[in-house]
Amino acid sequence: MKTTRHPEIRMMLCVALLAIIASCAQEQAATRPEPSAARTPGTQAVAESADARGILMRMAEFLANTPQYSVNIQDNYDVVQESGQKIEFGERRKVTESRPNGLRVEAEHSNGDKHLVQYDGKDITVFNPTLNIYAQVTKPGGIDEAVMYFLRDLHMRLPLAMLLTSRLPSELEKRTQALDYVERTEIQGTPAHHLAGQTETVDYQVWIAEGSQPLPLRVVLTYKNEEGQPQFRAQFSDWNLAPEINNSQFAFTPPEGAQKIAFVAQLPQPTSQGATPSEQTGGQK
Amino acid sequence: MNTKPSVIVTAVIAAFIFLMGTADDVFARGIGGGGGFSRSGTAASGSFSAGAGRAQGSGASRQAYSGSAAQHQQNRQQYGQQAQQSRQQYGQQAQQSRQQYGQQTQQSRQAQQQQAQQSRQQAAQSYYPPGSRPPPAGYSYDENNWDDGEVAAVAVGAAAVGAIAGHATGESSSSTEPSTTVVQTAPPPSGSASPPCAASPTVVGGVTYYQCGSTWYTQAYGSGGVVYMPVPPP
Repeated sequence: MKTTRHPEIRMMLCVALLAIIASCAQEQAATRPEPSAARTPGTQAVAESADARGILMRMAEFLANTPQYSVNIQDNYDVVQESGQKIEFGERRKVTESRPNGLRVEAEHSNGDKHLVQYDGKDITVFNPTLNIYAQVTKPGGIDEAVMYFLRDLHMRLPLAMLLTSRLPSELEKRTQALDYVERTEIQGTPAHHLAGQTETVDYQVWIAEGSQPLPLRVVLTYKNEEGQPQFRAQFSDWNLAPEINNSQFAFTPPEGAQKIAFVAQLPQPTSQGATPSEQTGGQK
Repeated sequence: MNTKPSVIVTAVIAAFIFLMGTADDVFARGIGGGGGFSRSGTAASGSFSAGAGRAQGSGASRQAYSGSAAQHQQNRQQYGQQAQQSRQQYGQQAQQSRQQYGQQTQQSRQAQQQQAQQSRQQAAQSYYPPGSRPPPAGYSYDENNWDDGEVAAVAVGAAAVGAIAGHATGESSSSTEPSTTVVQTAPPPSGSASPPCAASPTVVGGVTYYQCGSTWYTQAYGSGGVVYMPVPPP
């Protein structure tokens, strides 16, 4: 009865209530920051992105044009086992480079294995001091040619090889599809820029020292398309841009009794119906 | 009352035996020694690129002939067949579970990769400043992946046996032109760290070979170090 007695009053109350609600909503929208303005890459974001590229390329150019240096690298990497379990291995390396023809990499793996890689402008040599065994191949043309041949054709392992070549700036420029400035931070007490980039197959992070010597202090590579997305992590220390260089550091002199063997990539594959390599082998690397 | 100490002693001995068995199992699984785990994988390359479609931790590498793996296998056998069966059952269940999970995650990753690819393409357009040269469409795969250590080598030359003999006998390196020594068209297989059998070395033309059954092996330097590789008979 009451509801039908004053329908016009009820209608007016509803209209008033709706008006109040609409008014409140408008007021709230007016006081809230413009969402589009916050998300749109503004001047600051563009400047940051440009700065990230500048920092990266300064590092690349600086390293590629450094005539001589030595550095210690402690790296770790994940190996996803067949079971799906992720196991970390590591190694310590000392790199000495004297452009354009001198390269020496001393590596000690986490299992104690030691390897020495040398290049003197003519020969690439890999030596296992424990076994007193080495392999050697001729590749004149300089460090860039030798390093590329070592990896691409001989299928040998030389982590962060790109950083050893003068091609570093062009390689980074060519491969990087996206790049961001993450933050300013410190690596072992050294102020550093933290950048995050993406290539087609690898997400990379690099920490670059601030200042007049923009050297890489840390690199993390994530193989995003691989099962388990394993990572490679490297920490650089003891950068020395004026190391004592002696040509004997790069030329290999076989120790007494050293045995020379071929590279695996140079071996002919068995053609018989006997065991294939995949059936018979599979040792640890 | 009189039997109490003997019960306690029995319980302690039983617990000790149980713990010994557990310790054996722990070592048998390689937790203590680290044997049997593959050290090779994409991330080991430390490369800024990765070859497409390459599997992690190949089955072949788990069947390593390395000394540590062989010891590991012996330990497992000593531990007993019962434990072995138990692990196999667990392994089968875990394998099935992983396969199911893998299929699901694979589909999910493919979708994510497609989205990421589109995103990267958009980002690349904005990343490269005016005047600079973005990667050309259809750029060479090799050019962007030379450092992953797994890209197939170009087949050039077939004087393989001569090449290996030349290396092993220490001939002048100038006689071993690089372009005539790389003979494999695919990434070389991984070798074994120790001889697959207790074969006596045979030196032919300055190269040391080992014969196991009808298969001949020789040592060579690979990405993981010095390994034994099957080769044609000398």
